[in-house]
Amino acid sequence: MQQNSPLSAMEPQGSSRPDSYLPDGADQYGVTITSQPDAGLLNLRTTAKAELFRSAVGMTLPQTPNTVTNAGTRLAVWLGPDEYLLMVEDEQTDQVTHALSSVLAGQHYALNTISDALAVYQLEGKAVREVLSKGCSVDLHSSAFSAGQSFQSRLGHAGITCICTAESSITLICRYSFSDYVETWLKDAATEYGYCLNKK
Amino acid sequence: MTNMRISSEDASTTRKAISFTFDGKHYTGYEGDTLASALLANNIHLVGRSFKYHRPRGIMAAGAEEPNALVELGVGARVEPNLKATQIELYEGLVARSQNRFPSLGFDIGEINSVLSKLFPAGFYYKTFMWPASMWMTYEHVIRHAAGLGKVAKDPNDPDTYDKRHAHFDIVIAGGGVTGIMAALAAAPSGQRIALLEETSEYGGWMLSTPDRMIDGMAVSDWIAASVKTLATYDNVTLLSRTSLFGYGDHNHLLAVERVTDHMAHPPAHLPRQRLWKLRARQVILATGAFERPLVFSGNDRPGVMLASACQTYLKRYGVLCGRRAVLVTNNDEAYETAFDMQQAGCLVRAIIDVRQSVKPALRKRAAEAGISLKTGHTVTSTSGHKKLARITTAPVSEQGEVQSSQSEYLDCDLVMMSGGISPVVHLHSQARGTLKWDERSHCFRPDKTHEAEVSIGACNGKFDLSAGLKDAVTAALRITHLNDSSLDKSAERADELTPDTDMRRTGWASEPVWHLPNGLPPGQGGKAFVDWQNDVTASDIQLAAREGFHSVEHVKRYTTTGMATDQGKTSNINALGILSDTLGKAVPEIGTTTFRMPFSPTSIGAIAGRDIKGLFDPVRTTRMDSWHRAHGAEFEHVGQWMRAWYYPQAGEDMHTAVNREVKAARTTAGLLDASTLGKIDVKGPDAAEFLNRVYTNGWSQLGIGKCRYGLMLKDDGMVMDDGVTTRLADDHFHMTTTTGGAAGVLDWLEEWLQTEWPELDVYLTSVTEQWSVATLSGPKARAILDAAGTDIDFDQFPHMSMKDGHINGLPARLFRVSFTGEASYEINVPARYGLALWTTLMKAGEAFGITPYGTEAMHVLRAEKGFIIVGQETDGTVTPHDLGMNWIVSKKKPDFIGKRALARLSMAEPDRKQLVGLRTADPSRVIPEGAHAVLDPNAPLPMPMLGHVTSSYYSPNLGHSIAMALLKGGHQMMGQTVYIPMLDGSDPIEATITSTVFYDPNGDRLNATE
Repeated sequence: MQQNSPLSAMEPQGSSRPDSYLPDGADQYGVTITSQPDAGLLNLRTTAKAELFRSAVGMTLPQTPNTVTNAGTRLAVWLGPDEYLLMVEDEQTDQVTHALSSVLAGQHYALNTISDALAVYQLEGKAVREVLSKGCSVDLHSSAFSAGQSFQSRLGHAGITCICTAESSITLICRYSFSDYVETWLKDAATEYGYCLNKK
Repeated sequence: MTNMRISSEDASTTRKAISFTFDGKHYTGYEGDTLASALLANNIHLVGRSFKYHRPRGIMAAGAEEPNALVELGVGARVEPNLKATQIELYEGLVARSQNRFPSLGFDIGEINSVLSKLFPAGFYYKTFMWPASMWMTYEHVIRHAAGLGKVAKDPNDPDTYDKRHAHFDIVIAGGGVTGIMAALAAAPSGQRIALLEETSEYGGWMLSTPDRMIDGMAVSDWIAASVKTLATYDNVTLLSRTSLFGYGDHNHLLAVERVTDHMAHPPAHLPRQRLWKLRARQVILATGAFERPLVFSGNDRPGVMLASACQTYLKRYGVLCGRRAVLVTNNDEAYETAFDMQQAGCLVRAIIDVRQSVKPALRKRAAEAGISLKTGHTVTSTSGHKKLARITTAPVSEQGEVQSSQSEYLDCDLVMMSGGISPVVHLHSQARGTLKWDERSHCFRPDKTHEAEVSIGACNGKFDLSAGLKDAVTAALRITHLNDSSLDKSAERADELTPDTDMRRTGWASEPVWHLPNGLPPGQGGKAFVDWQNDVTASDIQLAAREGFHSVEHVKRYTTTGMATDQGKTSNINALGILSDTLGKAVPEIGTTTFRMPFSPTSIGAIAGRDIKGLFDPVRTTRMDSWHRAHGAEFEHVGQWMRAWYYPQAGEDMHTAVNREVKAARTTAGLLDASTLGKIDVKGPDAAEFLNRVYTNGWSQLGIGKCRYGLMLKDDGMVMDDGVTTRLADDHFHMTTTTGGAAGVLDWLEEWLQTEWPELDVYLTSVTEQWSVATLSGPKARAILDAAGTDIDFDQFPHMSMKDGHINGLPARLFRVSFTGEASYEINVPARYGLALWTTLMKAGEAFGITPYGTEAMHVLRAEKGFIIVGQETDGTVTPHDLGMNWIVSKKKPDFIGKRALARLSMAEPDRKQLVGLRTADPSRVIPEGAHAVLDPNAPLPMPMLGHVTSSYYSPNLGHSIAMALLKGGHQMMGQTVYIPMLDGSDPIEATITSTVFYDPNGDRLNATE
């Protein structure tokens, strides 16, 4: 029988920092972090022709590594040569699943709903890139990471997927169980610039 | 208090006064001062005691190469040792202390080591403390107290924050002197992303010490200011001052530390103290300048013996005279300029002692005009003055090298400015695995071949002339920014056009290699002549090492400690090589040089740790039911990065009581476990069954749709790696589960096999671990509770090891009837968003039935009662299925699976392999400690033959006695035998009988119960 919990001092840290902070003299948050609980997420593994998906989901799939395609608010994110993350409205998840299943019927593919497996955040503000660059080794300069581009990397000790939506706007996705860590990490890193965390 | 500020530099009216303390005394400095310049302005030279001999030491240099002036800064938890006074920017209220002295800087008991120094030759510690080895810890304790430098803060709770940033640049320029600035100016118009790093607070480097020089028709200080202003207008240029590039790694991965608030008296709370920059550069330009070398002569370490270039810097950059009566000792022309500048500033330069037999007539004339006595072909034979230099003795040296001691002359002085030539700062080039070549003119190493995409320019490239350095900078910048430009052949012309004019004064750094100034006495006699001030290494130490047979430069370095530690040979390297070269009669290039290692400058551990501390040290993952567990008083344990409910103590319960209650409830009513953390992998594709056949030991082709099967995964060495239940959802579709801790590793492992070994298999793997929340309901009342909760699932047609989709209280759910407890048990999976709702639904529906939440500890006991293994507890990477008594799960029919070939090795069948068995203690109440070793005879003489160790051990409340599993040599053939477990605490060995591992319900009646 184990006698004591080995790392009992290490606890979830989410509540230890305030949800907003402005340094003395600052008049706006360097970064605003907003959770996106209504994102419907599908993981698609396929090598089918990208064009095939136009009828099913209204867009092709990105064929250039680390880019996204979109149709309105729907987004397809390149994750690998045969792997994509589809981001749709949560209530459209079943409909998209059916549409894709019929298009891909008879082919080798895998389609999994993972809306609950991941946490999605929208980061906005002039310090977005500086904040992420504290824990992510990817080149985040706007000449190297601009709207329509994406990457999978790490933020501190958490795996993340990032999508650039505008110069000062980045979508960040992590595993749901890492959301407490990622929120704490973001608040800590953004303290220098001021931040606000909005949890929906 | 003597004020050493020069009169023309009336700092008190132009700069803000700053008060600070050193060793408890209050002093005043001015904005822009370093601690060193402020101390010197107050005529404080003595700042520390040396490493080994505790000799009084003063400030010797003005920058990163300072070997002596290491101080302790700050108070309380902010104490930081071993900082160079020459690099500390002064701020209001700064508190600094000297180090390595007891009881005080002025009177230090340790100085006895200096008197006894004959007892402390090179390799002293190696020679003296080798025997007996067992005493080393004692010796070390005493030595550590006496030797060494500063001590770390007693309070470990550093209140400051340290930050990190990753950044990518096309060009990183290290060094913000004029060549670095010039390179940035020439490269900036290309639009490439450029970072210019300067270690100090001010751009300009050495030129700040020679403000009379001209560039582009203006005073050099104006040119620097204008150029930095221009650079600041470029969006593509990042200026990072107070930033030291200290580490150069593969592929131009650079480490630099920015001192963000170190210079502030009251740093704002939101800023980090220091920031570690992790830079990636397409191209690196090194413009790190050069260090002046000291001269090696007897008594060259007294406070007041300084580098000539440092005196120049303190005079021209800080307006501080380092002495009133000075002597210059030199082997080159360039240092004369300092003597002239000092004389002009009001210092009496009593003599220039030049080790060379002759000097240029022009220099001789200038010395005469300045009224300075010039002694060519002279040496310094000794110095005197205890805590401050008071006098030197000089004597002529004949053409044959004989010291003419009879013609010795005393010179009273409070300052010796020494110049032994100049050495390019090749440290970063060397860290980048660049090679070096020997420069015969200036007697120094210069960069030769590069290994990384880097180039050295200016003084660090051996181009000591200002105009040559600027042209070097422009040429490098043009080449880098126009790499794909067809007009490259014209770049030489363009470089000429772009390089600004200078006053064209040639620098006179060509030096005469007199590595050890003779004192007219046999080797080792006379005062100590230091080579490495920081490590207290003398010329005779190096000569002794060579005589004792240490000829390799790497051996000499380690034996004498020269060039080690934070100094990394900045001032000592070339002199040490020169002396070794003289002693061995070999040229310096034949001897080679040691490796310069990172960090170039001492770097705080805090900056390297960054924010990876406390709550951010490692992510803590929680399930969707976590809030319920916390609200109900659960204790937690860490499983991988997850926090899992361990047990739920009720009022007055200790762990033992709580776990016993939970274990009993799961067998008598029902228990509910949060099993969300189990790894889950979606396996899909026409070859999915074949894939499972290859990765598990058992067969999968015949598994019916909707049926579950337990599987064991082996590594290719035949050892158990993971286990779990996999369910067939469709012909080509499976839901695999893994252990909690193994989930990520198993997915990586399977992907690797698919991608690299079996690309012909059409299978997709997707991690769905976190899509599902899982509550496992286990026990005789499980089905009744699910009925009470409301469900559309037909439990009459739901045998053990099968799966059904349906609803629980309206929540969409997928149920697996599998069991890790030995009871009828349902793993209820719902989309994670409903996890908490499912849990509370079941708790409410089960209330009337006595439902009891149980944690991982009760889970462990329940499975141990059934003899179910836990991978990582019963296994440790050396255990085969056979060792576990699980031959039944290893298919003999399948042509192959991972590990099959390894299992066929003869050694796998050896009868004395450690095998998993059960243990029943003679005393039913004694619980064997996990990890304890079993023996046949507890009275056997030491070393006692060991049978193996206990892997799991618990008290079983259902059985009323303790149970244990153990891996014992040949255990399967020892059923019924008695073993003993000796106890660490000296209590009686525990007697136990070897049994089957299945302690409870061996026929599985409860497992298959239908009610």
